[in-house]
Amino acid sequence: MTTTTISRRGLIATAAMTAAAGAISPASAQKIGDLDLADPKTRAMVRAKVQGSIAEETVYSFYRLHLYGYVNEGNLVPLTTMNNLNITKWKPLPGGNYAGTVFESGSYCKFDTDEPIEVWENPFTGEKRDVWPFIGGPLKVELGPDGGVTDETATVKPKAQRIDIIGDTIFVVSQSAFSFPNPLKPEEWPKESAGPTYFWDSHFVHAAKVADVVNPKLTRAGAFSQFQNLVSWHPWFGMGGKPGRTYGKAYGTKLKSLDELPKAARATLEKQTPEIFDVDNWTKPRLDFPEYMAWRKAKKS
Amino acid sequence: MDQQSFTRRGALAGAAAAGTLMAAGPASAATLDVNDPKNAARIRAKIMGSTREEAAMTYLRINVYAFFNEGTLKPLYTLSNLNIRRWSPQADGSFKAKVFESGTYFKFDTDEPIDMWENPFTGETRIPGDFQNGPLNLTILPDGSISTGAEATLKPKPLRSWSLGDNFFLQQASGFSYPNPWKPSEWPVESAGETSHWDSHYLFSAKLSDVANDDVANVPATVQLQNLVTWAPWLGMGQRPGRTWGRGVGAKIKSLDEVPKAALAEFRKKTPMIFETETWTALRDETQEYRNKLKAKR
Repeated sequence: MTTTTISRRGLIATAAMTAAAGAISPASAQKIGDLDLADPKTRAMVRAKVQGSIAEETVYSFYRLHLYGYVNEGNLVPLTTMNNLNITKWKPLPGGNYAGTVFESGSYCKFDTDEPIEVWENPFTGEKRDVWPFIGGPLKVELGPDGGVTDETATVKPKAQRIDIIGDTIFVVSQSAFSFPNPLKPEEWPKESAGPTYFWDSHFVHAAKVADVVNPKLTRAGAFSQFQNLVSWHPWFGMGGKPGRTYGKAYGTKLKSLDELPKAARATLEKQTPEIFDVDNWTKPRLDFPEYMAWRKAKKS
Repeated sequence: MDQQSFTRRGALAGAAAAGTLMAAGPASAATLDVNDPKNAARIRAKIMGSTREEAAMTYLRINVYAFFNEGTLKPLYTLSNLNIRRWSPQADGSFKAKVFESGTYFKFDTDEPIDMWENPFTGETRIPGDFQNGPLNLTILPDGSISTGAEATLKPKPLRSWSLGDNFFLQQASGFSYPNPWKPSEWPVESAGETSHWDSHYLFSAKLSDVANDDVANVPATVQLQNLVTWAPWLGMGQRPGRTWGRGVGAKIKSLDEVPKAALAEFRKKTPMIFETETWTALRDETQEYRNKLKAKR
Protein backbone atom coordinates (compact mmCIF):
# COMPACT_ATOMS: atom_id res chain seq x y z
CA MET A 1 0.00 0.00 0.00
CA THR A 2 2.73 2.39 0.81
CA THR A 3 4.34 1.95 -2.54
CA THR A 4 1.12 2.71 -4.29
CA THR A 5 0.89 6.00 -2.57
CA ILE A 6 4.25 7.12 -3.73
CA SER A 7 3.99 5.76 -7.21
CA ARG A 8 0.63 7.06 -8.16
CA ARG A 9 1.34 10.56 -9.29
CA GLY A 10 4.66 9.82 -10.91
CA LEU A 11 3.26 6.92 -12.80
CA ILE A 12 0.55 8.94 -14.33
CA ALA A 13 2.80 11.82 -15.08
CA THR A 14 5.34 9.92 -16.98
CA ALA A 15 3.90 6.62 -17.98
CA ALA A 16 0.39 7.36 -18.98
CA MET A 17 -1.46 5.35 -21.55
CA THR A 18 -0.74 2.31 -19.54
CA ALA A 19 -2.26 -1.07 -19.65
CA ALA A 20 -4.77 -1.38 -22.39
CA ALA A 21 -2.64 -4.05 -23.92
CA GLY A 22 -4.63 -5.35 -26.80
CA ALA A 23 -6.80 -2.29 -26.78
CA ILE A 24 -5.14 -0.64 -29.72
CA SER A 25 -6.58 2.81 -30.08
CA PRO A 26 -8.14 4.02 -33.32
CA ALA A 27 -5.05 6.11 -33.80
CA SER A 28 -3.08 2.95 -34.39
CA ALA A 29 -4.39 3.00 -37.92
CA GLN A 30 -3.08 6.50 -38.47
CA LYS A 31 0.08 7.64 -40.07
CA ILE A 32 2.07 10.61 -38.97
CA GLY A 33 4.13 11.54 -41.96
CA ASP A 34 6.10 8.39 -42.62
CA LEU A 35 5.45 7.08 -39.14
CA ASP A 36 2.94 4.24 -39.05
CA LEU A 37 1.22 4.08 -35.67
CA ALA A 38 0.05 0.55 -36.43
CA ASP A 39 3.61 -0.54 -35.81
CA PRO A 40 4.07 -1.19 -32.07
CA LYS A 41 7.65 0.03 -31.97
CA THR A 42 6.71 3.21 -33.76
CA ARG A 43 3.81 3.75 -31.39
CA ALA A 44 6.04 3.23 -28.38
CA MET A 45 8.55 5.65 -29.84
CA VAL A 46 5.89 8.30 -30.42
CA ARG A 47 4.55 7.98 -26.90
CA ALA A 48 8.02 8.13 -25.38
CA LYS A 49 9.11 11.05 -27.54
CA VAL A 50 6.06 13.11 -26.63
CA GLN A 51 5.89 12.16 -22.96
CA GLY A 52 9.61 11.92 -22.25
CA SER A 53 12.53 10.89 -24.41
CA ILE A 54 13.65 8.05 -26.64
CA ALA A 55 17.29 8.53 -25.66
CA GLU A 56 19.21 7.89 -22.48
CA GLU A 57 18.73 11.27 -20.92
CA THR A 58 17.06 13.11 -18.08
CA VAL A 59 13.84 14.98 -18.78
CA TYR A 60 12.57 17.73 -16.51
CA SER A 61 8.91 18.76 -16.47
CA PHE A 62 7.41 21.60 -14.52
CA TYR A 63 3.73 22.04 -13.72
CA ARG A 64 1.67 24.53 -11.78
CA LEU A 65 -1.17 22.66 -10.12
CA HIS A 66 -4.15 24.65 -8.88
CA LEU A 67 -6.16 22.79 -6.29
CA TYR A 68 -9.79 23.56 -5.58
CA GLY A 69 -12.14 22.05 -3.06
CA TYR A 70 -15.41 20.47 -4.17
CA VAL A 71 -17.66 19.58 -1.25
CA ASN A 72 -20.35 17.86 -3.33
CA GLU A 73 -22.35 21.07 -3.58
CA GLY A 74 -21.94 24.65 -4.73
CA ASN A 75 -19.00 25.88 -6.78
CA LEU A 76 -15.32 25.10 -6.52
CA VAL A 77 -13.33 26.86 -3.81
CA PRO A 78 -9.64 27.71 -4.44
CA LEU A 79 -7.36 26.00 -1.92
CA THR A 80 -3.69 26.21 -2.84
CA THR A 81 -1.23 26.02 -5.74
CA MET A 82 1.51 23.43 -6.00
CA ASN A 83 4.72 23.97 -7.94
CA ASN A 84 5.44 20.51 -9.25
CA LEU A 85 8.78 19.31 -10.62
CA ASN A 86 9.12 15.91 -12.27
CA ILE A 87 12.53 14.51 -13.13
CA THR A 88 12.63 11.32 -15.14
CA LYS A 89 15.73 9.47 -16.29
CA TRP A 90 14.81 7.77 -19.58
CA LYS A 91 16.54 5.07 -21.55
CA PRO A 92 15.57 2.90 -24.52
CA LEU A 93 15.21 -0.84 -23.93
CA PRO A 94 16.31 -3.59 -26.36
CA GLY A 95 12.76 -4.70 -27.18
CA GLY A 96 11.60 -1.28 -28.31
CA ASN A 97 10.13 -0.06 -25.05
CA TYR A 98 11.47 2.76 -22.90
CA ALA A 99 12.31 2.77 -19.20
CA GLY A 100 12.00 5.68 -16.85
CA THR A 101 13.10 6.32 -13.29
CA VAL A 102 10.88 8.99 -11.84
CA PHE A 103 11.50 11.53 -9.09
CA GLU A 104 8.94 14.13 -8.20
CA SER A 105 8.24 16.86 -5.69
CA GLY A 106 5.72 19.60 -5.05
CA SER A 107 5.89 22.79 -3.01
CA TYR A 108 2.73 24.48 -1.84
CA CYS A 109 2.03 28.16 -2.35
CA LYS A 110 -0.77 30.60 -1.73
CA PHE A 111 -3.29 30.06 -4.53
CA ASP A 112 -2.03 31.19 -7.95
CA THR A 113 1.14 32.73 -6.53
CA ASP A 114 4.73 31.73 -5.85
CA GLU A 115 4.36 32.69 -2.21
CA PRO A 116 5.33 29.54 -0.28
CA ILE A 117 3.20 28.58 2.67
CA GLU A 118 4.12 26.61 5.75
CA VAL A 119 0.74 26.95 7.42
CA TRP A 120 -2.52 26.92 5.50
CA GLU A 121 -5.94 27.99 6.67
CA ASN A 122 -8.64 25.58 5.58
CA PRO A 123 -11.44 27.71 4.07
CA PHE A 124 -14.06 25.13 4.99
CA THR A 125 -13.11 24.41 8.59
CA GLY A 126 -11.17 27.54 9.51
CA GLU A 127 -8.46 25.35 10.97
CA LYS A 128 -4.81 26.19 10.42
CA ARG A 129 -2.92 23.19 9.08
CA ASP A 130 0.78 22.48 8.70
CA VAL A 131 1.66 22.12 5.02
CA TRP A 132 3.01 18.75 3.94
CA PRO A 133 5.14 19.14 0.79
CA PHE A 134 4.90 16.35 -1.74
CA ILE A 135 7.85 14.11 -2.48
CA GLY A 136 7.88 10.80 -4.32
CA GLY A 137 10.27 8.45 -6.06
CA PRO A 138 12.28 6.81 -7.37
CA LEU A 139 9.72 4.86 -9.34
CA LYS A 140 10.40 2.49 -12.21
CA VAL A 141 8.25 2.79 -15.31
CA GLU A 142 8.33 1.01 -18.65
CA LEU A 143 6.63 2.72 -21.55
CA GLY A 144 5.45 0.62 -24.47
CA PRO A 145 3.23 0.89 -27.57
CA ASP A 146 0.03 1.02 -25.55
CA GLY A 147 1.16 2.83 -22.48
CA GLY A 148 3.22 2.31 -19.41
CA VAL A 149 3.90 -0.98 -17.76
CA THR A 150 4.13 -0.57 -14.04
CA ASP A 151 5.31 -2.89 -11.33
CA GLU A 152 2.88 -4.93 -9.29
CA THR A 153 3.12 -2.69 -6.29
CA ALA A 154 1.37 0.12 -8.10
CA THR A 155 -2.40 0.27 -7.98
CA VAL A 156 -2.59 2.88 -10.69
CA LYS A 157 -4.61 1.62 -13.63
CA PRO A 158 -4.32 4.13 -16.43
CA LYS A 159 -6.21 3.33 -19.59
CA ALA A 160 -5.03 4.21 -23.04
CA GLN A 161 -7.03 6.77 -24.91
CA ARG A 162 -6.54 7.37 -28.57
CA ILE A 163 -3.79 9.48 -29.98
CA ASP A 164 -5.38 12.52 -31.55
CA ILE A 165 -4.06 14.79 -34.26
CA ILE A 166 -5.62 18.21 -34.66
CA GLY A 167 -3.97 20.47 -37.22
CA ASP A 168 -0.23 20.26 -36.66
CA THR A 169 -0.50 19.06 -33.07
CA ILE A 170 -0.47 15.52 -31.73
CA PHE A 171 -2.18 14.73 -28.44
CA VAL A 172 -1.21 11.77 -26.29
CA VAL A 173 -3.95 11.24 -23.72
CA SER A 174 -4.54 8.98 -20.73
CA GLN A 175 -7.02 8.45 -17.96
CA SER A 176 -6.69 6.63 -14.68
CA ALA A 177 -9.33 5.80 -12.09
CA PHE A 178 -8.58 3.77 -9.05
CA SER A 179 -9.37 3.35 -5.40
CA PHE A 180 -7.65 1.61 -2.54
CA PRO A 181 -8.08 1.07 1.19
CA ASN A 182 -7.06 4.25 2.94
CA PRO A 183 -4.12 3.62 5.28
CA LEU A 184 -5.39 6.49 7.41
CA LYS A 185 -8.35 4.89 9.18
CA PRO A 186 -11.13 7.30 10.14
CA GLU A 187 -11.29 6.08 13.71
CA GLU A 188 -7.59 6.73 14.24
CA TRP A 189 -7.29 9.79 12.04
CA PRO A 190 -10.65 11.59 12.31
CA LYS A 191 -9.32 14.88 11.00
CA GLU A 192 -6.99 13.52 8.36
CA SER A 193 -8.84 10.52 6.95
CA ALA A 194 -11.03 10.96 3.88
CA GLY A 195 -12.75 7.69 4.69
CA PRO A 196 -12.06 3.98 4.54
CA THR A 197 -11.48 4.09 0.78
CA TYR A 198 -9.26 6.53 -1.07
CA PHE A 199 -10.24 7.58 -4.61
CA TRP A 200 -7.93 9.01 -7.25
CA ASP A 201 -8.99 9.97 -10.79
CA SER A 202 -6.27 11.53 -12.87
CA HIS A 203 -6.05 12.40 -16.56
CA PHE A 204 -3.02 13.47 -18.55
CA VAL A 205 -2.45 15.00 -21.96
CA HIS A 206 0.84 15.74 -23.65
CA ALA A 207 0.64 17.82 -26.83
CA ALA A 208 3.53 18.19 -29.24
CA LYS A 209 4.09 19.42 -32.77
CA VAL A 210 3.82 16.70 -35.40
CA ALA A 211 6.93 18.11 -37.08
CA ASP A 212 8.94 17.50 -33.92
CA VAL A 213 7.62 13.98 -33.52
CA VAL A 214 8.56 12.98 -37.05
CA ASN A 215 11.95 14.72 -36.92
CA PRO A 216 14.50 11.87 -36.62
CA LYS A 217 17.08 14.27 -35.26
CA LEU A 218 15.06 14.95 -32.12
CA THR A 219 15.11 12.50 -29.22
CA ARG A 220 12.25 14.25 -27.46
CA ALA A 221 9.51 16.55 -28.59
CA GLY A 222 8.82 19.77 -26.77
CA ALA A 223 5.44 19.27 -25.18
CA PHE A 224 2.67 21.18 -23.55
CA SER A 225 1.62 18.95 -20.68
CA GLN A 226 -1.49 19.10 -18.64
CA PHE A 227 -3.18 16.99 -16.04
CA GLN A 228 -6.43 17.27 -14.16
CA ASN A 229 -7.61 15.17 -11.30
CA LEU A 230 -10.30 14.51 -8.75
CA VAL A 231 -8.85 13.06 -5.58
CA SER A 232 -9.94 12.21 -2.04
CA TRP A 233 -8.82 14.85 0.44
CA HIS A 234 -5.12 14.54 1.19
CA PRO A 235 -4.60 14.03 4.93
CA TRP A 236 -2.79 17.31 5.42
CA PHE A 237 -5.86 19.32 4.42
CA GLY A 238 -7.64 18.15 7.56
CA MET A 239 -10.92 17.53 5.76
CA GLY A 240 -11.64 14.30 7.61
CA GLY A 241 -15.31 13.40 7.62
CA LYS A 242 -16.18 16.09 5.07
CA PRO A 243 -17.72 15.00 1.78
CA GLY A 244 -15.96 15.92 -1.45
CA ARG A 245 -12.66 15.86 -3.28
CA THR A 246 -9.93 18.13 -4.47
CA TYR A 247 -10.35 19.23 -8.09
CA GLY A 248 -6.96 19.80 -9.64
CA LYS A 249 -5.80 21.42 -12.85
CA ALA A 250 -2.16 21.53 -13.77
CA TYR A 251 -0.27 22.68 -16.80
CA GLY A 252 3.34 23.10 -17.81
CA THR A 253 6.00 21.81 -20.15
CA LYS A 254 9.15 19.83 -20.43
CA LEU A 255 12.17 21.96 -19.64
CA LYS A 256 15.34 22.04 -21.69
CA SER A 257 17.19 22.14 -18.39
CA LEU A 258 16.61 23.17 -14.80
CA ASP A 259 17.79 26.63 -15.79
CA GLU A 260 14.37 27.15 -17.36
CA LEU A 261 12.60 26.60 -14.08
CA PRO A 262 10.93 29.89 -13.09
CA LYS A 263 13.06 31.47 -10.39
CA ALA A 264 10.27 32.03 -7.91
CA ALA A 265 9.00 28.50 -8.36
CA ARG A 266 12.50 27.09 -7.95
CA ALA A 267 12.87 28.99 -4.69
CA THR A 268 9.73 27.35 -3.29
CA LEU A 269 10.94 23.90 -4.33
CA GLU A 270 14.40 24.48 -2.88
CA LYS A 271 12.80 25.55 0.36
CA GLN A 272 10.24 22.79 0.74
CA THR A 273 11.68 19.84 -1.20
CA PRO A 274 15.45 20.27 -1.65
CA GLU A 275 15.84 16.55 -2.35
CA ILE A 276 14.50 17.02 -5.87
CA PHE A 277 17.69 18.85 -6.85
CA ASP A 278 19.88 15.92 -5.85
CA VAL A 279 18.31 12.93 -7.53
CA ASP A 280 21.65 11.32 -8.30
CA ASN A 281 22.02 10.65 -4.59
CA TRP A 282 18.34 9.88 -3.98
CA THR A 283 18.04 6.12 -3.81
CA LYS A 284 15.73 5.43 -0.88
CA PRO A 285 12.04 5.29 -1.83
CA ARG A 286 9.99 8.14 -0.39
CA LEU A 287 6.51 7.14 0.73
CA ASP A 288 4.02 9.96 1.07
CA PHE A 289 1.28 8.62 3.33
CA PRO A 290 3.44 6.56 5.72
CA GLU A 291 5.85 9.45 6.09
CA TYR A 292 2.98 11.82 6.77
CA MET A 293 1.51 9.50 9.38
CA ALA A 294 4.86 9.11 11.11
CA TRP A 295 5.42 12.85 11.04
CA ARG A 296 2.01 13.61 12.53
CA LYS A 297 2.42 11.00 15.21
CA ALA A 298 5.81 12.37 16.15
CA LYS A 299 4.40 15.85 16.27
CA LYS A 300 1.54 14.81 18.52
CA SER A 301 3.74 12.93 20.95
CA MET B 1 -32.45 32.69 -17.63
CA ASP B 2 -32.49 30.63 -20.77
CA GLN B 3 -29.91 32.98 -22.11
CA GLN B 4 -27.52 31.87 -19.45
CA SER B 5 -27.17 28.36 -20.62
CA PHE B 6 -26.64 29.62 -24.11
CA THR B 7 -24.04 32.21 -23.37
CA ARG B 8 -22.06 30.32 -20.83
CA ARG B 9 -20.10 27.88 -22.87
CA GLY B 10 -19.39 30.19 -25.75
CA ALA B 11 -18.30 32.96 -23.50
CA LEU B 12 -15.94 30.71 -21.66
CA ALA B 13 -14.35 29.59 -24.86
CA GLY B 14 -14.05 33.05 -26.24
CA ALA B 15 -13.49 35.21 -23.24
CA ALA B 16 -10.97 33.37 -21.18
CA ALA B 17 -8.40 34.87 -18.93
CA ALA B 18 -9.80 38.29 -18.34
CA GLY B 19 -7.08 40.47 -16.98
CA THR B 20 -4.53 37.74 -16.67
CA LEU B 21 -1.74 39.56 -18.34
CA MET B 22 -1.74 42.16 -15.66
CA ALA B 23 -0.36 39.51 -13.37
CA ALA B 24 2.11 37.95 -15.74
CA GLY B 25 5.16 36.32 -14.24
CA PRO B 26 8.64 37.72 -14.42
CA ALA B 27 9.71 35.34 -17.14
CA SER B 28 7.45 37.08 -19.61
CA ALA B 29 8.20 40.60 -18.46
CA ALA B 30 11.33 40.95 -20.53
CA THR B 31 9.43 40.29 -23.72
CA LEU B 32 5.97 41.61 -23.01
CA ASP B 33 5.05 44.91 -21.47
CA VAL B 34 2.44 43.35 -19.28
CA ASN B 35 1.62 46.58 -17.53
CA ASP B 36 0.39 48.24 -20.67
CA PRO B 37 -3.38 47.66 -20.78
CA LYS B 38 -3.44 48.16 -24.53
CA ASN B 39 -0.78 45.52 -24.89
CA ALA B 40 -2.69 43.22 -22.59
CA ALA B 41 -5.85 43.49 -24.65
CA ARG B 42 -4.01 42.90 -27.90
CA ILE B 43 -2.12 39.93 -26.54
CA ARG B 44 -5.25 38.40 -25.13
CA ALA B 45 -7.11 38.89 -28.37
CA LYS B 46 -4.38 37.32 -30.50
CA ILE B 47 -4.22 34.24 -28.28
CA MET B 48 -7.96 33.84 -27.87
CA GLY B 49 -8.74 34.75 -31.44
CA SER B 50 -7.33 37.46 -33.65
CA THR B 51 -6.48 41.14 -33.63
CA ARG B 52 -7.58 41.34 -37.26
CA GLU B 53 -11.04 41.41 -38.76
CA GLU B 54 -11.39 37.68 -39.29
CA ALA B 55 -12.89 34.47 -37.98
CA ALA B 56 -10.85 32.40 -35.53
CA MET B 57 -11.76 28.80 -34.89
CA THR B 58 -11.14 26.37 -32.07
CA TYR B 59 -11.78 22.64 -32.14
CA LEU B 60 -11.98 20.59 -28.94
CA ARG B 61 -12.63 16.95 -28.25
CA ILE B 62 -14.26 16.73 -24.83
CA ASN B 63 -14.51 13.45 -22.95
CA VAL B 64 -17.37 13.71 -20.48
CA TYR B 65 -17.59 11.64 -17.31
CA ALA B 66 -20.08 11.32 -14.49
CA PHE B 67 -19.11 11.94 -10.90
CA PHE B 68 -21.77 10.86 -8.42
CA ASN B 69 -20.08 12.49 -5.43
CA GLU B 70 -18.64 9.10 -4.58
CA GLY B 71 -16.53 6.42 -6.23
CA THR B 72 -14.47 7.12 -9.33
CA LEU B 73 -15.41 8.84 -12.58
CA LYS B 74 -17.60 6.97 -15.07
CA PRO B 75 -17.25 7.61 -18.84
CA LEU B 76 -20.39 8.97 -20.52
CA TYR B 77 -19.72 10.21 -24.05
CA THR B 78 -17.42 12.36 -26.17
CA LEU B 79 -18.43 15.80 -27.39
CA SER B 80 -16.86 17.30 -30.50
CA ASN B 81 -16.92 21.04 -30.14
CA LEU B 82 -16.39 23.67 -32.83
CA ASN B 83 -16.20 27.29 -31.78
CA ILE B 84 -16.06 30.11 -34.33
CA ARG B 85 -15.52 33.70 -33.31
CA ARG B 86 -15.72 36.53 -35.76
CA TRP B 87 -13.34 39.18 -34.47
CA SER B 88 -13.04 42.85 -35.25
CA PRO B 89 -10.64 45.37 -33.74
CA GLN B 90 -12.17 48.62 -32.52
CA ALA B 91 -10.83 52.15 -32.70
CA ASP B 92 -10.72 52.44 -28.92
CA GLY B 93 -8.31 49.50 -28.56
CA SER B 94 -10.93 46.92 -27.72
CA PHE B 95 -11.66 43.75 -29.67
CA LYS B 96 -15.18 42.53 -30.34
CA ALA B 97 -16.26 39.06 -31.31
CA LYS B 98 -19.43 37.32 -32.33
CA VAL B 99 -19.28 33.83 -30.90
CA PHE B 100 -20.87 30.77 -32.54
CA GLU B 101 -20.59 27.24 -31.28
CA SER B 102 -21.74 23.76 -32.10
CA GLY B 103 -21.31 20.30 -30.68
CA THR B 104 -21.90 16.74 -31.81
CA TYR B 105 -21.95 13.59 -29.72
CA PHE B 106 -19.97 10.37 -30.05
CA LYS B 107 -19.64 7.11 -28.25
CA PHE B 108 -16.99 7.66 -25.61
CA ASP B 109 -13.53 8.28 -27.06
CA THR B 110 -14.47 7.11 -30.53
CA ASP B 111 -15.53 8.56 -33.88
CA GLU B 112 -18.82 6.66 -33.73
CA PRO B 113 -21.58 9.28 -33.73
CA ILE B 114 -24.62 8.78 -31.55
CA ASP B 115 -28.18 9.84 -32.33
CA MET B 116 -29.48 8.30 -29.16
CA TRP B 117 -27.68 7.65 -25.93
CA GLU B 118 -28.44 5.05 -23.32
CA ASN B 119 -27.91 6.41 -19.86
CA PRO B 120 -25.86 3.65 -18.21
CA PHE B 121 -27.18 4.56 -14.79
CA THR B 122 -30.89 4.82 -15.49
CA GLY B 123 -31.09 2.52 -18.50
CA GLU B 124 -33.18 5.14 -20.27
CA THR B 125 -32.53 5.99 -23.90
CA ARG B 126 -32.09 9.72 -24.36
CA ILE B 127 -31.79 11.96 -27.41
CA PRO B 128 -29.11 14.67 -27.24
CA GLY B 129 -30.14 18.24 -27.82
CA ASP B 130 -29.30 20.16 -30.95
CA PHE B 131 -26.13 21.94 -29.92
CA GLN B 132 -25.95 25.12 -32.02
CA ASN B 133 -25.48 28.25 -29.94
CA GLY B 134 -24.94 31.87 -30.85
CA PRO B 135 -24.25 34.54 -31.71
CA LEU B 136 -22.92 35.88 -28.44
CA ASN B 137 -21.40 39.33 -28.21
CA LEU B 138 -18.00 39.34 -26.59
CA THR B 139 -15.63 42.24 -26.03
CA ILE B 140 -12.07 42.43 -24.81
CA LEU B 141 -11.91 45.94 -23.43
CA PRO B 142 -8.91 48.24 -23.82
CA ASP B 143 -7.87 47.62 -20.23
CA GLY B 144 -7.80 43.89 -20.85
CA SER B 145 -11.02 43.04 -19.06
CA ILE B 146 -13.82 41.10 -20.68
CA SER B 147 -17.42 42.04 -21.26
CA THR B 148 -19.89 39.38 -22.28
CA GLY B 149 -22.98 41.57 -22.13
CA ALA B 150 -25.88 41.80 -19.74
CA GLU B 151 -27.39 38.52 -20.87
CA ALA B 152 -24.39 36.53 -19.76
CA THR B 153 -23.97 35.40 -16.18
CA LEU B 154 -20.45 34.26 -16.88
CA LYS B 155 -17.97 35.49 -14.32
CA PRO B 156 -14.49 34.62 -15.53
CA LYS B 157 -11.81 35.33 -13.00
CA PRO B 158 -8.31 36.21 -14.08
CA LEU B 159 -5.51 33.88 -13.14
CA ARG B 160 -1.99 34.94 -13.84
CA SER B 161 -0.33 34.36 -17.16
CA TRP B 162 3.26 33.28 -17.28
CA SER B 163 5.88 31.91 -19.59
CA LEU B 164 8.21 28.97 -19.44
CA GLY B 165 10.90 28.80 -22.10
CA ASP B 166 9.07 29.73 -25.29
CA ASN B 167 5.69 28.71 -23.90
CA PHE B 168 3.15 31.28 -22.84
CA PHE B 169 0.15 30.25 -20.72
CA LEU B 170 -3.12 32.14 -20.61
CA GLN B 171 -5.69 30.80 -18.19
CA GLN B 172 -9.01 31.55 -16.60
CA ALA B 173 -11.33 30.11 -14.02
CA SER B 174 -15.06 30.60 -13.87
CA GLY B 175 -17.41 29.39 -11.19
CA PHE B 176 -21.03 30.39 -10.99
CA SER B 177 -24.47 29.16 -10.08
CA TYR B 178 -27.95 30.30 -11.00
CA PRO B 179 -31.58 29.32 -10.50
CA ASN B 180 -32.27 26.36 -12.73
CA PRO B 181 -34.88 27.18 -15.37
CA TRP B 182 -35.74 23.48 -15.39
CA LYS B 183 -37.83 23.20 -12.25
CA PRO B 184 -37.78 19.77 -10.61
CA SER B 185 -41.53 19.86 -10.11
CA GLU B 186 -42.13 20.28 -13.84
CA TRP B 187 -39.12 18.36 -15.15
CA PRO B 188 -38.40 15.56 -12.68
CA VAL B 189 -36.26 13.63 -15.15
CA GLU B 190 -34.42 16.55 -16.76
CA SER B 191 -33.93 18.87 -13.80
CA ALA B 192 -30.86 18.47 -11.62
CA GLY B 193 -32.39 20.63 -8.90
CA GLU B 194 -33.32 24.17 -8.05
CA THR B 195 -29.84 25.54 -8.69
CA SER B 196 -27.44 24.92 -11.54
CA HIS B 197 -23.70 25.02 -10.92
CA TRP B 198 -21.08 25.49 -13.60
CA ASP B 199 -17.34 25.55 -12.97
CA SER B 200 -15.23 25.83 -16.07
CA HIS B 201 -11.55 26.38 -16.64
CA TYR B 202 -9.76 27.17 -19.90
CA LEU B 203 -6.09 27.20 -20.70
CA PHE B 204 -4.36 28.41 -23.83
CA SER B 205 -0.73 27.53 -24.47
CA ALA B 206 1.02 29.53 -27.19
CA LYS B 207 4.55 30.31 -28.26
CA LEU B 208 5.90 33.34 -26.46
CA SER B 209 7.77 34.37 -29.61
CA ASP B 210 4.47 34.42 -31.53
CA VAL B 211 2.69 36.33 -28.79
CA ALA B 212 5.44 38.93 -28.65
CA ASN B 213 5.59 39.30 -32.43
CA ASP B 214 3.54 42.30 -33.52
CA ASP B 215 3.31 40.88 -37.01
CA VAL B 216 1.35 37.87 -35.80
CA ALA B 217 -2.32 38.72 -35.37
CA ASN B 218 -3.70 35.24 -34.80
CA VAL B 219 -1.45 33.12 -32.62
CA PRO B 220 -1.64 29.32 -32.86
CA ALA B 221 -2.49 27.82 -29.50
CA THR B 222 -3.18 24.53 -27.82
CA VAL B 223 -6.40 24.67 -25.84
CA GLN B 224 -7.46 22.74 -22.78
CA LEU B 225 -10.81 22.80 -21.03
CA GLN B 226 -11.97 21.17 -17.85
CA ASN B 227 -15.24 21.61 -16.07
CA LEU B 228 -17.57 20.38 -13.37
CA VAL B 229 -21.18 21.01 -14.29
CA THR B 230 -24.67 20.22 -13.05
CA TRP B 231 -26.19 17.40 -15.11
CA ALA B 232 -27.37 18.63 -18.51
CA PRO B 233 -31.14 18.18 -18.91
CA TRP B 234 -30.80 15.84 -21.90
CA LEU B 235 -28.89 13.29 -19.78
CA GLY B 236 -32.03 12.60 -17.77
CA MET B 237 -30.16 12.22 -14.50
CA GLY B 238 -32.92 13.86 -12.51
CA GLN B 239 -31.91 14.85 -8.99
CA ARG B 240 -29.20 12.24 -8.62
CA PRO B 241 -26.31 13.69 -6.69
CA GLY B 242 -23.30 14.57 -8.80
CA ARG B 243 -22.04 16.47 -11.81
CA THR B 244 -20.43 15.89 -15.16
CA TRP B 245 -16.65 16.23 -15.19
CA GLY B 246 -15.24 17.19 -18.55
CA ARG B 247 -11.81 17.08 -20.07
CA GLY B 248 -11.33 18.76 -23.43
CA VAL B 249 -8.22 19.03 -25.56
CA GLY B 250 -7.75 20.73 -28.87
CA ALA B 251 -6.35 23.71 -30.65
CA LYS B 252 -7.06 26.83 -32.59
CA ILE B 253 -7.31 25.71 -36.19
CA LYS B 254 -6.32 27.55 -39.34
CA SER B 255 -9.15 26.13 -41.40
CA LEU B 256 -11.93 23.59 -41.24
CA ASP B 257 -9.61 21.18 -43.03
CA GLU B 258 -7.86 20.71 -39.70
CA VAL B 259 -10.99 19.36 -38.00
CA PRO B 260 -10.75 15.56 -37.80
CA LYS B 261 -12.74 14.07 -40.69
CA ALA B 262 -15.27 12.13 -38.63
CA ALA B 263 -16.02 15.13 -36.51
CA LEU B 264 -16.33 17.43 -39.51
CA ALA B 265 -18.77 15.06 -41.20
CA GLU B 266 -20.94 15.04 -38.11
CA PHE B 267 -20.92 18.83 -37.85
CA ARG B 268 -22.04 19.04 -41.47
CA LYS B 269 -24.81 16.55 -40.82
CA LYS B 270 -26.14 17.79 -37.49
CA THR B 271 -25.06 21.37 -36.96
CA PRO B 272 -24.83 22.90 -40.45
CA MET B 273 -25.38 26.43 -39.21
CA ILE B 274 -21.85 26.51 -37.79
CA PHE B 275 -20.64 26.73 -41.40
CA GLU B 276 -22.83 29.74 -42.11
CA THR B 277 -21.84 32.14 -39.39
CA GLU B 278 -21.76 35.04 -41.83
CA THR B 279 -25.52 34.80 -42.26
CA TRP B 280 -26.39 33.41 -38.80
CA THR B 281 -27.99 36.33 -36.99
CA ALA B 282 -30.92 34.94 -34.99
CA LEU B 283 -30.06 33.88 -31.48
CA ARG B 284 -30.01 30.14 -30.90
CA ASP B 285 -30.04 28.59 -27.44
CA GLU B 286 -29.69 24.84 -27.27
CA THR B 287 -31.25 24.50 -23.82
CA GLN B 288 -34.30 26.55 -24.61
CA GLU B 289 -34.74 24.76 -27.92
CA TYR B 290 -34.45 21.41 -26.20
CA ARG B 291 -37.10 22.39 -23.67
CA ASN B 292 -39.41 23.62 -26.40
CA LYS B 293 -38.95 20.34 -28.22
CA LEU B 294 -39.89 18.36 -25.12
CA LYS B 295 -42.88 20.59 -24.49
CA ALA B 296 -44.09 20.08 -28.05
CA LYS B 297 -43.84 16.33 -27.56
CA ARG B 298 -46.09 16.59 -24.54
